[in-house]
Amino acid sequence: MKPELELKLQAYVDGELSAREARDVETAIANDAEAQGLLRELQTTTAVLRQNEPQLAVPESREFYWSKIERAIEQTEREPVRPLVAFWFSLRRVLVPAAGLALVLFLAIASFKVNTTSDPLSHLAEVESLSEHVSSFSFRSHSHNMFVVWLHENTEQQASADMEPEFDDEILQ
Amino acid sequence: MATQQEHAALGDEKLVRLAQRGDMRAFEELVARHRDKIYARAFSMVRNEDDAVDLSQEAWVKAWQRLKQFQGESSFVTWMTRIVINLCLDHLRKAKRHRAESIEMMDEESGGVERQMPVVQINPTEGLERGEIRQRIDKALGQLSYEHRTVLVLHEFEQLEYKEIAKRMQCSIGTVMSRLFYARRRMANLLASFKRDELS
Amino acid sequence: MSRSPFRCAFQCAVVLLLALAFACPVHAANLKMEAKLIWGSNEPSKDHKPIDAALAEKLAATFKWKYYYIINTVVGDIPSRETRKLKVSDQCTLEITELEGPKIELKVIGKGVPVNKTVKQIVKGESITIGGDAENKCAWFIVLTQLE
Repeated sequence: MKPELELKLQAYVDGELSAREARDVETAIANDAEAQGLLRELQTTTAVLRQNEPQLAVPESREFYWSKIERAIEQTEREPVRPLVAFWFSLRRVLVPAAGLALVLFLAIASFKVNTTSDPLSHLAEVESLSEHVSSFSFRSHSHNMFVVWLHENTEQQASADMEPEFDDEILQ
Repeated sequence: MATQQEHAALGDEKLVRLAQRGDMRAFEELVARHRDKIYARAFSMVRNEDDAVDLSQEAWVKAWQRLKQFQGESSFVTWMTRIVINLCLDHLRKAKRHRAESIEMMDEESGGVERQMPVVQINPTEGLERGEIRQRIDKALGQLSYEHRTVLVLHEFEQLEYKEIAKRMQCSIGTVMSRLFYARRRMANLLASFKRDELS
Repeated sequence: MSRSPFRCAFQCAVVLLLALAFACPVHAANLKMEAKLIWGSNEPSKDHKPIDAALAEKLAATFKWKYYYIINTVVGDIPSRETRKLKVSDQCTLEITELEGPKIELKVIGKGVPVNKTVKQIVKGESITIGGDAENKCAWFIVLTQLE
C-alpha cells in the first residue's frame, strides 16, 4: 500500500479530510482488504487509547506538594500595592498629602534602584533554537554593553568562514 | 475567609474567580482537585516521576501568575493542561540535545519501519480489565521515542488537531501525520505482543 | 450639608498626588521596549536613512559591515507577566514576554515560524541584538532596548 494512502486513511479516521477527500478514500479502499484491515487497526487503537488513558496520582502528599508551590509563588511575588484610595480618604488630615508625596518619592527611588542592577549574573542568558533549519550562537560585548544572538541557516556551506561575521577579538576572549 | 471545607464545595469557576482576586486557599483547592490530572499529563510526556512533579508544580506557579489572563474560554483544567504541556515540550526539546538516541529510536525517526509491522487483526485489549489495559498502555507508551509519544498524547489524550500539534511541536503537519501513524502502529503491535506474551 | 471650598481643594490635591503616585512607572508594571530593524551593508546607500552615530559605532565595532541603515522602529508596552508581539517587518515578528526578574523571553518568528528563543535578564542600558545574514552579503539586525 502506498504511504500516501496510509496517511490518508489515518486522516480519514481522524476526521481531518474534507467531505470530498473522505469519499475518495472510501472509494479507494472499497475493494482493498489490506487497506480495510489497516483502517480497522487504526480505529481500534484510537478507541482503546482514548477510553483507557493511564491514570496516575502525584507521588507526594497534598500538603507537601502544595507547600512547594506556595513557596515558589511567594518567592516570585512581591507584596501587592493595596488599593489605598479608601484608606487615604478616610484620613482627612494634613498627613494625607504628606503621605501621598512620600509615596511618589518612594516609587521614584524604588524604580531607580530596580533599573540599576548590580547583579553580576545579569549577562547570563538562555538561548534556544526553535527551528531545525536555523542555528544560533550568542555572545556578550562587555565594552559595548550589547548581548548578541546570531542566527544562521543550516546549509551545507554552514562551515564556510564566509558565512560567519567577523568579530572583534576582544569579544571572543 | 472561607474554610477549606467551604472551598471544597465550590465549583471550579467560582474558585478561579476567588483565586483571581488573590484567594490563595481557593487556588490551593484547585491544585488539590486537579493535581493528579496535571501530573499525569506531565508524566505521560516526560516519563520521569521527578521531572513530572517539578514540571507540574512549575505549571501551577505559572498558572497563578497568569490567572488574570484566564477568561473562561475553556475549562480551567484544559487551560492548566495546556500550560503543563508547553512546559513539558520545552523540557523535552532541551533534553533532546543531550539525549543519546538508541538505534531503535533512530530507526523510528528515519521512517518506513511502521510498514514492516503486521496489521493487528483483533483488539489486543479485549477481555482485559480496565486497570490492566491502562497498565499495558502505560508500558507501551514508555517504549516510544519522545516525539512519537508526544504526538500520540497530544492527539489521542488531548484531542488536538494536526495543525495545533504541529504548531506546538514546531514541525510540519506532514511530520505530525507520519509520527502519529508510526506511534499508533507501534502501540497496536506492542499491545498485541503483550497479549501474546500473556497467552504463551 | 455643603462642603467648604478649602476641603474640596484639599481633597483634589490628595487625588492629584495619588494619581501622580500611581502614574509613576512602577517596575512591576509595563516594560516599554523599542525594536529597531537595521540593515547592514558594505555599500553605501542613498535610499536609506543611516542609524544614529552612537549605535553605528557599536555595531561597527562588533560586526564587519561598514554601513547601517534604519528600516523600521517599533515601540511596545509589555505588561507584567504578559506577552506582546512587535511586528518589525512583514517577515519578522518578535514575541516578548515579561518574566519575573525582570527578565524577558524573546521569541523571534520569521515567516510565521518560530526560529529562536532567548531568555535574558533586562539590564537598563544594555541592548539585545538579534542578527543574521541577508542577501548580497548584507545583514539584518534587530536591536531591542528598554526605553523606561
